[in-house]
Amino acid sequence: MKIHEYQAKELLASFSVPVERGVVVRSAEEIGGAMGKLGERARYAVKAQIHSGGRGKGHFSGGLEGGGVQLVSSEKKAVDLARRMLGNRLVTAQNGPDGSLVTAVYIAEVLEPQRQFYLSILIDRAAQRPVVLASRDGGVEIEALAEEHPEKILREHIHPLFGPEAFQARRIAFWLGLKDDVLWEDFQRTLAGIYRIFWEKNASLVEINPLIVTEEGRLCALDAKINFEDNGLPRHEDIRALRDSAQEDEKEVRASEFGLSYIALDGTVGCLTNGAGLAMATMDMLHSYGIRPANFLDLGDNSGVDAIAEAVRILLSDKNARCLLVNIFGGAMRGDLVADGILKALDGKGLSLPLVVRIEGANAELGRKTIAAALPGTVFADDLAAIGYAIKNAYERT
Amino acid sequence: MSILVDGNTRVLVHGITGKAATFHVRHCREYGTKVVAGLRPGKGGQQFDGVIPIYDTAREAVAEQGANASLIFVPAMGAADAIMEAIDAEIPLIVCITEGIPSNDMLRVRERLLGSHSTLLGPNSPGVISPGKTKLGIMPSHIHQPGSVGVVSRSGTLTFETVWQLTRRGIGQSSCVGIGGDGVHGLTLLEVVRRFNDDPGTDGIIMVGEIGGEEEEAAAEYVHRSVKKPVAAFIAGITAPPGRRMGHAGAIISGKKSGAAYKIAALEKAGIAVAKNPASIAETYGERAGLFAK
Repeated sequence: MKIHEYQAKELLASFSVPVERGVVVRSAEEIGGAMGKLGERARYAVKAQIHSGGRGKGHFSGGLEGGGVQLVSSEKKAVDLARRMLGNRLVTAQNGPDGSLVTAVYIAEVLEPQRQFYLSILIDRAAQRPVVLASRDGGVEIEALAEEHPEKILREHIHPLFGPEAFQARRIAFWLGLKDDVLWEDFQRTLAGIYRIFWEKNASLVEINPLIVTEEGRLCALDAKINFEDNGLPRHEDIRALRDSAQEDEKEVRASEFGLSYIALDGTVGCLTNGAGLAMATMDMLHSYGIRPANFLDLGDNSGVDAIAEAVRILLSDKNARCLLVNIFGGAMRGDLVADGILKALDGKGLSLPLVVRIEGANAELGRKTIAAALPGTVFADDLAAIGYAIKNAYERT
Repeated sequence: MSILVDGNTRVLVHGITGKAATFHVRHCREYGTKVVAGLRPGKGGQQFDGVIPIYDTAREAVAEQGANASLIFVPAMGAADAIMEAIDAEIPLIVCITEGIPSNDMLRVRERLLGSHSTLLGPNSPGVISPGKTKLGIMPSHIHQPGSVGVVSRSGTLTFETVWQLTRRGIGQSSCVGIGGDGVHGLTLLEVVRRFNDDPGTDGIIMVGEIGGEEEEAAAEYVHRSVKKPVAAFIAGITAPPGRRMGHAGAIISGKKSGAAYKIAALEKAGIAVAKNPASIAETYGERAGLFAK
């Protein structure tokens, strides 16, 4: 789960990580009071809050000049800009042609970075340990830096039972060139804070980029990104409350409420599949026939009839869908449940799209019989290769 | 022969009274699996299906029934604790089916595994089956056939798919192992491939990988160095969009290396036959192993 920059900064501050002074506004009415709290400044940073990187280089679809992060020189301009950002859509290189709805704007003091660093913590899967990544090249994209200049990134593995030790904090700080006493103390607090958020809140990534040295010679997290692992969310009511569903695909939100893994794609074949591997393989196979899937869907093992029915409704609500494909290999999931779910979603009505069904594994025959009886036009395929042919045929008829 | 499990495997099922566990334990027993004990704290002294004794602790189940494998169905928030209890009871093989365990829980489990007597398969694993001998998991029994091909996969349903393709072509399996779809887990692809390589009853290996992580590359390097048996593979997710978690917690493209194209190139470089299409995994293996030439 992703959260906004302002939420990340509030969380960082609550774990003693230094952040700049700023206020968040979610509606035009809030702006006046919020500006009072921030106090008079020479300049203001006005930052649109959406779940996407590349905000500064993005553009608004609603005819507002400039990117999603702008610096202005008066309170009046800041208020005016924040008001126009709210409710607008910000399009970036990462979030698709429709962009994302700006539901909140963060207005902050402007700091002049003397130096900029990169600092993050995440799990290193190869080592199966947490790892701190640090670089003196703050503000850059870390993936690109890792590929072009891996020597510019320090990787410090942390023992999960003990957390970062003082010598490790020193090693990272010296490597970044933070030798001054005040900066060293700020850095210790920062590292301890991001590690605690990672560990105690089940974050999958805590990233400060850039972490800067201010004109006063203090550290400050100027931009931050915190992602949380979905598997950890059941333990953290406070983190779940940070979710902003407006930033997510409406169908994906519906699916997640039923415990389904669903990802909207831009193709035309709706796919009802179980298991992540088979779901991906089904997409890959369609592509090999030159056909694009409308979605990725993993029903998971424990989905009941209601969840399956919701999945079918989501697939049918996709206006681009020209075909429906059911590819189920039952183990934990049973074929008869899938059939019942499909029929429940149709609620006695027929299906207007061609349907290709492959059900194998647990209670497969019962599932196939149920569908054949209720939906006579269904094409049944008995293996993965046959699905390809059947879908291609059905597709060409539409 | 087979790897990890065989007819001598004596299974303790953690969370045996749950709905999914009940369903699958019955299927395992029908297959011939020796389920010798169940674990459900607070229900010790009761019996499952009137015959299998239930215990409060793993140590009791080991002491009284000689359990030498754990099969874990405990819900996600308590599953890591169940694994650690099995480690504490010195159970040699622990198979964890549970999906959705937080990674930080698994990081603790990993530290407990170091220097222990236990090997962990999973979590988020379909389990392991040695066809004709025993199964510890949720795979449908009838799709398997005893034989000599070892199958290892990061995905449950894609393992079933692969096995079914083999069986329909008359190619039997020595063991089929799902290592699970999570980022932090026990046995890796490489470790399972190594076991297959060392198993005299396994003549060839099929490895089914997917986007995310670097395990396929590590296994490929080992194959290149040490494996003489024919090896075929498939990598799922060549069409997956970057940055999105594809169902499995571990199936996410983050950077060039975790993408399918990079993995396929690494596998081919190691001399592994990579199926271009998921429908042709068995076909690709058969060709590599020379099964169709005779």
